[in-house]
Amino acid sequence: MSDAEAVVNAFMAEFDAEHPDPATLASYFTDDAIYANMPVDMPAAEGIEAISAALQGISQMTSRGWEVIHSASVGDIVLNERVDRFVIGGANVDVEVCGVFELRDGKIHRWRDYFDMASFQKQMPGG
Amino acid sequence: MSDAEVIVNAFMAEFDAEHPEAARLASYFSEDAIFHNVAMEPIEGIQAIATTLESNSQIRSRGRELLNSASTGNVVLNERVDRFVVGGVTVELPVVGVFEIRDGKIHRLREYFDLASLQEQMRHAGIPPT
Repeated sequence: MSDAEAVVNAFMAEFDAEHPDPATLASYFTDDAIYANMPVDMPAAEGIEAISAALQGISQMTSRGWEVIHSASVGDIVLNERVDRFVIGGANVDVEVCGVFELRDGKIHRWRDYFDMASFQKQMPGG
Repeated sequence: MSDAEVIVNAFMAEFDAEHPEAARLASYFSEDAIFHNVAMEPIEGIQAIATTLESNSQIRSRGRELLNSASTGNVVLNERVDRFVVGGVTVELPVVGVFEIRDGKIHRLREYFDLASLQEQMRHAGIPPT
């Protein structure tokens, strides 16, 4: 496993906690990081302030763990295939997702998550 | 670059042709392959995959741009922008593909993208949703 993959996998493992500490999550990112969910109409979180706010929101959901199915890296780039599991409004929601991470100086500098928004929404209560 | 990545990249390069030959695309897959656009139902077996590739190849391709690619053993993950022309409009689809290679063929292909991103661009092109 590359150094970059070790960082990404440690970040994933934070979600073994039901409510990961948002400050700990934010510490994985560079100050000028960009976190983008690729589905249409989802603006990217640019900069550590915006990312912290996004991570705060994620940590308020109940995590059931982020399972890494496959992971591979080349240099400072990591791609992984995952199932991110949550409980939202009493319903189990499993998001099938691929993430692309660009690391810089041991921190996440770019994070792009690819998933189908409709597949996510239809699992939500009332979805 | 791993052997698995060479195969996947060759498959991607087929889409440099405006209308890649469907039989040629199908030859990259194993008999019992599964092709799953994760937003949709999986397509199982070479016959069903060949039918899908046949209809895909009727859409005019403008290439599949590889942004990042990495592999581990027989598994390849790539981040791409797939471009094609529908109703005179160029559609750009951000995708991550996961390829499991067995005996030099694609045995599993899972494509991760947002179906609504595709549908919205189709709608702008004046193509009714299917």
